Amino acid sequence: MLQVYKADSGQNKFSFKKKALGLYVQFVPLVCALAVPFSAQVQAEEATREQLLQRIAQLEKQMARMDRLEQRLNELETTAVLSDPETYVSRVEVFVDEDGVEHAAEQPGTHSVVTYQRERVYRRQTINEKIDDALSGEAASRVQVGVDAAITMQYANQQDGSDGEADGEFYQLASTDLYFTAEIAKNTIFYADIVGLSGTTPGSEIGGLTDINGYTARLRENDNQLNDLSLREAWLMTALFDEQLALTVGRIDLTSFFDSNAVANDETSQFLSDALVNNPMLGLSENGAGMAGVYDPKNGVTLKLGYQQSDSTATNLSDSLFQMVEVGYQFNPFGTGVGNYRGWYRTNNNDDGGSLSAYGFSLDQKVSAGITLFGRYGEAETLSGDDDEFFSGGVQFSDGFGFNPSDVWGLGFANTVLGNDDEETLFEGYYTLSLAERLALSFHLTYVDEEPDGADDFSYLVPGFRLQASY
Amino acid sequence: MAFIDLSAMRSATVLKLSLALLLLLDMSLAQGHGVRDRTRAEGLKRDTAVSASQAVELTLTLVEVEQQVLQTWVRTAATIDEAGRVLSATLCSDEQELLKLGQRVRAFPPDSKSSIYQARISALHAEDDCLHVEAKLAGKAYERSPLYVMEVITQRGRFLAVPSEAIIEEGERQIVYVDMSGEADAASAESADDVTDDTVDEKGHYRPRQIQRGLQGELYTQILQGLKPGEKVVTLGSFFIDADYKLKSSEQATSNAHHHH
Amino acid sequence: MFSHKFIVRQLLAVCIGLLATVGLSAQEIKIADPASVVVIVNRDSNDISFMDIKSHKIIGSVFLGNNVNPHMAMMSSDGRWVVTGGTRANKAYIIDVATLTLKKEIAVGFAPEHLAFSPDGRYYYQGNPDDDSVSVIDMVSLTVIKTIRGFAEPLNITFTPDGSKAYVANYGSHWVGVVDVSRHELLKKIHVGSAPAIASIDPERYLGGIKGVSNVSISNDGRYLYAADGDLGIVTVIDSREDKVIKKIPVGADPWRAFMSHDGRYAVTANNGDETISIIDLQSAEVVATLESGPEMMGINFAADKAFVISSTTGFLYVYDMKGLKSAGRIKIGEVQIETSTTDTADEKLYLASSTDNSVYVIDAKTEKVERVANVGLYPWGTHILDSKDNYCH
Repeated sequence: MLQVYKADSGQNKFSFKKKALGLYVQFVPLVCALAVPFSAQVQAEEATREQLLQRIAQLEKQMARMDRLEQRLNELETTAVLSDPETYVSRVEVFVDEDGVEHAAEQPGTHSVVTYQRERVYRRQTINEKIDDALSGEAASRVQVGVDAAITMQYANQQDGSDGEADGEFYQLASTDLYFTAEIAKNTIFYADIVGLSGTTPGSEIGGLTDINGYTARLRENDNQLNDLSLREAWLMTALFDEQLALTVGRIDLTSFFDSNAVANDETSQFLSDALVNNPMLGLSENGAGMAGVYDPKNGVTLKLGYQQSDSTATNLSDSLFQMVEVGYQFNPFGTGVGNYRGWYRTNNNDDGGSLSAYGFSLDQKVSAGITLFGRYGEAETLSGDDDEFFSGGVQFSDGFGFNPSDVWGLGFANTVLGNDDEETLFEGYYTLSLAERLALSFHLTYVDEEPDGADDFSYLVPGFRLQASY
Repeated sequence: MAFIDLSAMRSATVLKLSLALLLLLDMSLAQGHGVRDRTRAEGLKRDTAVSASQAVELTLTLVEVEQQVLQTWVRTAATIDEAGRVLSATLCSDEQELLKLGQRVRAFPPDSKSSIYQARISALHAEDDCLHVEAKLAGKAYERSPLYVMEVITQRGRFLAVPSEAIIEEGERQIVYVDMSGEADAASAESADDVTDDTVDEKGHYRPRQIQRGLQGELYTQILQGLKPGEKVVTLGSFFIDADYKLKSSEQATSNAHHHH
Repeated sequence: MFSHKFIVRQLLAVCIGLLATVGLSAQEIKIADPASVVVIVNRDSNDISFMDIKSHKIIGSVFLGNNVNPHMAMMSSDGRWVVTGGTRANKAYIIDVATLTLKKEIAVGFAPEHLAFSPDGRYYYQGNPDDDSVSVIDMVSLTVIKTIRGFAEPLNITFTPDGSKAYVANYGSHWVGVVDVSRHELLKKIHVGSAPAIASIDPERYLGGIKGVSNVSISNDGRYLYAADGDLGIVTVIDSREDKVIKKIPVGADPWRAFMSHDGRYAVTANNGDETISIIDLQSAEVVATLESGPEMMGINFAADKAFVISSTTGFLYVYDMKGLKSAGRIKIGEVQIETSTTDTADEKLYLASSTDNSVYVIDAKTEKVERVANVGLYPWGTHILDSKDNYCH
C-alpha cells in the first residue's frame, strides 16, 4: 500500500491514516479503470502464448525422439556391425640363432633374417576402398599399354631459289606409337615401343640438312617409304644402388638419354624440326642395340655412359659402335629458376676402320616463372677433315603466358654448317593449345634457308599443325 | 515508498499522477533494492528451466565438477639475443613467484603469431623487486623481431575446479548455475499420472549457487566452497541462463508485489 | 556418548576417503613433460603410442577400440590432451597425456580425418570429409557444441593466429570455407579458381573425379593464405584480412598442398601429377624453382636449411637445399611405404612414420643418418610433436 505523507506538516505518520485511506479510495478505481483494457489484452495474448508453448513442446518431443533414434543408429553402425579382421602379408626382420630358433629382438648368437608373415589387423574398410585396393593391385601386376598418336600436316612454300619439288605441296604424316611397360622385378621394368608411320614429310622433297619433321628422324631408311612399321625401342631397365644407377639394355635411342633439354627435346610436344629437338652433331642415324647407364644421385650432378649400334646393316657391333659420355649439372644460378647444363662427347666407327669424335653442350635455364631459355652447340669430326658445326637457341613460354593456363609456345633457331660448307639456317615458332588432358593441337611455322656448297641457295616457309593424342 | 506533497496537488493532475504511479510501481518492482533482495533469496531455491531446443540454440554446455589440473600461463614481453637462441625478460608482478627453472615456454614474435617456438626457462635472477628471466629456445629463431611474446606454462596442481567461464560475477559474489535436472525429473516423474518416454518433459533445470573460489587458472578456477564433485555446472550458455533467471525473478517479484496490495 | 552406528559410519567415511585418495594417486603420471614425447598414430593396432624423444623408447599406448582406425592426432597447446579422430568409428577420442588414459569418446560426423586446435586451445575442430561437416568440440566440456555443415569433403582446417577465423579446405570443390570461430558458422566461400573454358570439351577430366583444395597454409604473420588446387594446378594466395584472392600462381600438375618453410620465406608444393616440387618465394609470390621429385609425395618437412620430401611408395626422402634452391640427393629409408613426418622443435630431427614395417624412422637432418625405431604399433600413419612447425597429415 502506498503511504502518503504531508512533507511539511510536522505531524507524524499515524495521524494521517484516515487521509491515506481516502486517497486510496480515490486512486484505486482510477488505476483499475486504466488497467482493465490492458488486462484483457494481456489475457488474450496469454492464451495464444500457451497454445504456442504447447505446440513447441510437442515439436521438441519429436525432435528428441529423432535424436535418440539417430544416436542408436550411430551406435549400431559403429559397434554392432562386426568386420572380419583384415589380413595382409608383411615383411619382417627376425633374429635366428644357431639352433634355428626365432627371436623378436637381437640377442647374442643370432643373426638377422628377413621373412614374411601374415598379420591380422582390425582395419575397417569401405566397399569402395576394397574395390580400389583390388583394382590397383591387379593393375600393378599387368602390362601397361599406352598409345601416342599424332597427325601432322605441313605446307611447303618456296621463298627463294629455283623451282623446287616441294614448292606448293602439302604433306601429311600419321604416326602412332604403341608402347608397353611392365614391372617384372623390383626396380626393373620392360619397355617396348612400336611405331607406325604413314605419309610423307616436306624434308623428303626439300632436301635440307636436317629433318623438318622430327617424327621420322632415325626411323626411315629412305624418304620413299610411305608406310612402315618398326620397333622404335625395346629394352629392359633396372635400377641399382638405391636407384642411383639405372642400366638400360636393348634396342635403344641414345638421344633419349643424352643431349636432353627441358624445352627442346620432344617433337611430340615442343618444336617439330629435328634441328630443334636434337643436336645433329650427335651423328646418330637410327636406333639400334645398345646399352646406357645413368648415374643420378639426385644432387644435381648426373653422369651418363652409353653405346649403341648406329648402322642396322653392320654385321657386328664393332663395325658400327657409337659410344657416348655426358656430364650434367643442375643448379639455380640466379635464384630465378632451375638451369640444366650438359656436356657430352661421342666417338663412332668410320668406314675406314678408324673413329670420329664429336662433342657438344646443351642447356636450358628458367629465367622467370614461365620463361625458359635453351641453347645447344656441337662440333663433329668428318672424314674430310673439316669439322661440322652446329648451334641452336630459343625460348619457351608456359605457365599462363598463353590463352589457356596449360598452353605452351616457343621460338627457336638453329644453324648447321658442314665441313663441306653446306649450311642450313632454320627458324621455327610454335603454339600448343591444350585442348584436353590428352589432346593437344599445335601450330608451327618454320623457315628454312639452305646454302648448299656449289649449288643455288633456296629457302622455304613451312606452316603446319600437329594434333597429338596421348593415352 | 513514495512521498507526495499534497499541498501542491490539483485535481487535474490526478490522472497524470496515477499514470506516474503505475510506471513507478513497475519500475520499483524491476529495480528496487529491497524487493530484489527478497526475490533473489527466494530464487536461489528456485530453478530456471530451459527446454531441449533452447539448449541447442544456446549451445548450452554442462561440465562436471571434478579434480582438474590448473595451469597459469605467465605472459610477458621478451627480447632475443643476437644468436637468436635466448629470450630475456623482466617480470615485476606477483606472477614471478610462479616461475621455476626448466618450465616450458612458448614464444612467438607479435607480428608472426603463427610461428611458435618452444623454449625452457634456463636462468632466473632476482633484481630488486623484479625477476630477470632467461629462456633458451629449442631451435634458432628465424625472425629478427626485436620483441617476442613469452608464455610460461606453470602447473599449479590438481584441485576441485570448474571452467572459469561457468562463474558469473555479481559484485562481490560469484555464482554458478548447477544442473538440477535429475531432481526435477524425479519430482515430475513422481507426480505425473502417466509417465512414458514420450511424455517426460525434457527440460533442463538450473539453479544458481554461490561459490567461493580459489586459484584462477588459464581455463579452470579452483572451488573452495559451494560445489561437490560430480555436480554439473553450466559453462557455455550460462549468460543466457542468468538473464533468463533474472527475468523470471522480476516476473515473480511482480506477481508477489501484486499480492501485497 | 556416540552410538555404535555413528562410529561405524564415521570410520566407513574415513576409509572411503582414504581409498579415494589412493585411487587418485594410483593414476600414475606417465608423462610429466608433454613436450618430451612423439605421438604416433597407429591405424591398424587402433592405438596412439607415445615415444620419448630422447631415448626413442615407447612410453605407453592408449588403445581406442577395434576397428577405430585413427587418422591424425594432435596435442593441445597446454599439453593436457591428445585428440584423434577414429575414421571407422565416427568418433573423436580425447586422451589424457599425463596418465595416458582415454578420457572420452565423442560421436562426430562420418569418417573423421584431419583436425586442428584453435590457437587458444579452447576448440578442437574435427573435419568429417564423408559427412561434409566439421564438428566443433569444446575442450573444456569435452562435448560437441556444434556441427558446421555445408562443406564439400572438408580435409584440413587452418586457424588465423588470433583465433577469430578458421579456413576449411574442401577437397571436393574449388573453394575455401571461412568460419567465424566466435559463432562457429560458415561465413563465406572463397573461390580459388575455375577450370579453363576449354575444359568443356573434356568433361571426363573434370566430372570424372575432383581434386580440389586439400589444405590452406598460412604465412608466419598470418596475413596470407596459400591454397593449392589439385585439378587446376595453381596455388591461390588469399589475403586473410580481407578474405580476398590476391594472386593465382601456376605450379606443377596436381599439387597436393603447399608446405611452409619455417623461416617464412618459401612455400613448397608437392606436385604429384608430374612428380616435381615448386618452390614459391613468398615475397614475390612467384615460383623460383621447379625441381624433379618422386611419385606420391605425402609431405614435406623442413630442418637444417633443407626440405625433405616424402615419396610414399618409393621409400625415398628427397632432399633439397633451401639456400641454393636445388636438389641435394635422396635418403633411402627402405623397401617400405612411408607416410608422414613431424620435425622436432629444434628443427634438427624428423620422425617419419613407416606403415609397412610398423616403424618410426628418426632422421638427423644435418648428417642425414637414419635410425629405425621398430614395433611402435601396427601401420603407423602419422606422428606429432607439441608445437612442431611440421604437424600435418595426408
